[in-house]
Amino acid sequence: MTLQRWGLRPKYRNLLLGLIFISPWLIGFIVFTIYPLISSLYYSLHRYDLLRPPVFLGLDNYITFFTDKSHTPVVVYNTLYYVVLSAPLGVVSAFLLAGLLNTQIKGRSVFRAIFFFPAIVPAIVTAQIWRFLLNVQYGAVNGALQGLGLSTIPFLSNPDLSKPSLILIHMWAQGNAMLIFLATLQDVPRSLYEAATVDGANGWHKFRYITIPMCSPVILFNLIMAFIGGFQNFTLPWLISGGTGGPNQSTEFYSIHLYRRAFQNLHMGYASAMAWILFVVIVAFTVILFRSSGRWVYYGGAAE
Amino acid sequence: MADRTQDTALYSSTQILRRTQRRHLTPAGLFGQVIKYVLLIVLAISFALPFYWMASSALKDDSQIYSVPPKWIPNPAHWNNFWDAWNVRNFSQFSINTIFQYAIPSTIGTVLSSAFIAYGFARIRWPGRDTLFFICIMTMMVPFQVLMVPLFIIFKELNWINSYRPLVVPAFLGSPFFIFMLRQFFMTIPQELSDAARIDGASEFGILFRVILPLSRPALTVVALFTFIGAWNDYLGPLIYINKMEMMPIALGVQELQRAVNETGTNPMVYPHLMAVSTIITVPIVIFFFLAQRTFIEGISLTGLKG
Amino acid sequence: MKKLSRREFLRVGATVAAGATLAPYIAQADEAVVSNAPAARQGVTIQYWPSWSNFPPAWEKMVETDEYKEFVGDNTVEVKTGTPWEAVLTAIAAGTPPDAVSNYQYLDLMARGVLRPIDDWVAASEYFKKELYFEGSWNDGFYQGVMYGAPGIEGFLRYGLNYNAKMVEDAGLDPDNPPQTWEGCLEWHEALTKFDDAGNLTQMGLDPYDAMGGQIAIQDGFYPPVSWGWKWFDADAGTFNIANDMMIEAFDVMGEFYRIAGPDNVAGIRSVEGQGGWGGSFNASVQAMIIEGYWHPGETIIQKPEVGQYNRATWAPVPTAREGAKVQGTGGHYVVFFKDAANTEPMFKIAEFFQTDTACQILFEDVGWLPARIPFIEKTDPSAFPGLEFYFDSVTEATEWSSPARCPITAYVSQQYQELREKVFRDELSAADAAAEFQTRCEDEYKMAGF
Repeated sequence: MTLQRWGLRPKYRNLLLGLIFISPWLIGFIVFTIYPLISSLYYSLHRYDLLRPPVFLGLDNYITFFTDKSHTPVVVYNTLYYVVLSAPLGVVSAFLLAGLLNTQIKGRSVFRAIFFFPAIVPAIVTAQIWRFLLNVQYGAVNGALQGLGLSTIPFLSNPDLSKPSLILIHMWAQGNAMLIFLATLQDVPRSLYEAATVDGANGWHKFRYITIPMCSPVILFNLIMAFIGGFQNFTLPWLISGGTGGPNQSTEFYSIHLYRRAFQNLHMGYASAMAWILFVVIVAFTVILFRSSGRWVYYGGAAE
Repeated sequence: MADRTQDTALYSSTQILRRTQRRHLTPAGLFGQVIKYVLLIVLAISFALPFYWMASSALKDDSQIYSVPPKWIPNPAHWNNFWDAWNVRNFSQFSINTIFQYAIPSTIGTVLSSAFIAYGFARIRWPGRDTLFFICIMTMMVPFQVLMVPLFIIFKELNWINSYRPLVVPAFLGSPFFIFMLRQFFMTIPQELSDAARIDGASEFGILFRVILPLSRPALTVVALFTFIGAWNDYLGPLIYINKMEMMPIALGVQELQRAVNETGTNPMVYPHLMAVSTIITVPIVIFFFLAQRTFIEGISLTGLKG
Repeated sequence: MKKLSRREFLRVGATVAAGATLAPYIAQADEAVVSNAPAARQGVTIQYWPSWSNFPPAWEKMVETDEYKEFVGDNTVEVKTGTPWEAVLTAIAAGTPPDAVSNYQYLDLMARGVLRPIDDWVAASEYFKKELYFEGSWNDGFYQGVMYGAPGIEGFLRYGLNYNAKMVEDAGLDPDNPPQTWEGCLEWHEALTKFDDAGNLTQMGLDPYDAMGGQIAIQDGFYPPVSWGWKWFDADAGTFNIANDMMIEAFDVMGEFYRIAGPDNVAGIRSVEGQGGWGGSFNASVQAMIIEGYWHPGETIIQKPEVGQYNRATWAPVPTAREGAKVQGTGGHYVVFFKDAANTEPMFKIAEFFQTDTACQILFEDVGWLPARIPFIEKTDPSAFPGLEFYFDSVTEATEWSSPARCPITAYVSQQYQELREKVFRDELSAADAAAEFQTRCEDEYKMAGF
């Protein structure tokens, strides 16, 4: 009897405590996420243009998305292209910058600040700067190329180059991820490296067997964020293409198409269905990443 | 592969540096140093170039902006652009709105609530925790556009339209992104520290405030920094909820200016003005970052755990 | 000890800060309720959202006039420009629309029953009388026999080929002998399109998809039906007539202008700030010709006098087979009122104020706009802006009149037109396939939208 009580009590005490701690999120979740989500699930089964009452359609919106030949294929292709390249490249670029900053260098705070700045400038400003910098006629980058006697590159006005250019801009604006990596790198106990040195490990070994494992939870975190961000990528291509997804639909990503369907064409129901499809895809991606992470992510003092 | 090799180089250069400090610089070490600084400087230039472009464009007039080939140094420089641009719209008012009505309150709210919630997810074992945490993460994956209309209706029912409440109040209910981030940080803190405090009679709140938070100061600084910058730069949120010009935040002001360029053809000096305002609003963030970076980056190392 | 006390301090500090931050929000909520009451006694606040960013300077002048004070009475009008369409939609959906808007997708709003019919107000008004307006402009305020739009702000004629006479002369062409057909335009285009040594486009003759030649989502649809002379939508039957030989020819003929200048080049020159927007590249003197409405001469003089002084206008281009056809169109803008808004009636007074000579004169002088109101047009000096005279002459000289199709998915049609024409001039799709695809997309969308 006594043993049983000992076994039960902390469990309920912990449940109560846990719920108390997460209660702010729980409230926010129910009011600001669950309710709107259910509304949108409801809309996804309807024809809903925001202005007239919804008309029930069943699964028509979902079927339309998968059978649409004029936009779905190009939008899915653009999005996968962007996600698959931008997420890993962004994380690698952030990690390398952090690694470089984590060595002993003079003027570190200046370099750190410079590498971080792109992340803190409003997207609306970033878009203006890059649109102009990469312009074929007036852009400074092409001006420099011409000055060197090279031919100009239509970075943002050629359909084949627009996505790589956006990925480049994405890699440039990795300040947030870089700072997270930097903080993590500095939290790696010196003693581990010192012990490894005593054991005769070289730089590569230390990187492979200490740095990567110690940073792995954060790598996972940044990677997941990059994937989610990639799938939802909206602001920068929206501002750079002036809301068109051009040139030639080459930057019409999933979220941009969704937004246009919802607000320009008034298909709130269809857009809700698209959003739910995207939601499922992102969740699936994340689950796969998490599942696979057991093999390479290391939690120092994890409760698990 | 290439990146790994590069990182190896970085880490061996750490080694080299240690030796450097002992003033025994080998030729190979010198070479490594040179490579590293060349790399750093090239990277720094490519990162800073767009900002140089922004600041120099702010000093140009239209003919200098659209000149082919592009001019790198504005001559003559139009310094009055900054003053003119700031007063094209009421940017003083916009910045006051952004800082006091939005950025500061939402930063305080997000840091406090996210740390609190993350603690519940990271440091207490309770049934259903992982399921709820998974749900919490999943909410990050919900495209904002879907929530936009239902949310707008809720805030309208609450009579919160045309105030910063729709943006600030949810901040006090935690942000999944930061909950996730803090949870990851909290989980790397050895369980023994909490156990020791528990044996000393500390409550969970005590452990959070006395053990976990002090050790997580860098992470908390990051949360604060990101939230503040996020609020300073946010325009989608205010765009929907704030209709009154006198209440506008700064990002909307910039957007107004940009729209003026696009909609009405070439009004004189609009692009330089846009760049001038962009330059001005970047400066406070830069200062903020400089002030915070020391605490954030160098505040802690887990070596303290040994003691 | 020192450490501990600092932590305690932080904790207390944080709690206090949180309380202090939340307090004003709680307080604000009460204030908002209280401040409504006295406002109601003094008159109401009318919300009017015209989307034009160049409207406010004229508005500021208007509110200073005695007429305005008469019309507005004890009320006040809050004008908000530049509101994105999606923000307008969310506001309507949430039941908090402004009282009226202008320069938004009128047909989308009219077709979906969110606007207040104004037949009763108009019948009682001494300002709005059918015979005082251009017929086409008046009629476009109706949808399925019900009047929703009060003509206002701007509404004179829609089409003309404007050109920069100085650039034309510099290219060795005769500005007194402008082209009348697409073929002629293409000749001018070739002469006026210039590249630098590196092959970069520095100047172009005509971007046929700029301004009124391009996508006109608000209500006019797209230009080829005007130029080739056919109706692309039958409102009564709800059918589209797009996949035809004229559309195919239009894709090819107009696309040729892009092929000559280079699609990447045009995208580049038109994507920098200031040259990307409607007509921006003409103002910047990198485009020599533009298909535009009557407002172009005035707007250009007001925004860029050094360019506007060289402006000339002639008939908008037609296909060679139709040489001699003189196309012109009506349309223009309206003030539309929302059913769910509280102060539409006092707002209607403001719409009436826009019909006064005072308001029209300010809009003409400060923005370059003219109403569809005949009495004011008759009083206006056609030589006020270079090129404006053509539009006045065209009232009597035009051989074909067009007005916007009453198609409730016009915005979608414009968007598809924009996508498909690019596929044609980038040689990804033949003009015939593009026309067929265009037709299919429109039909599918019409069904999907539930009409």
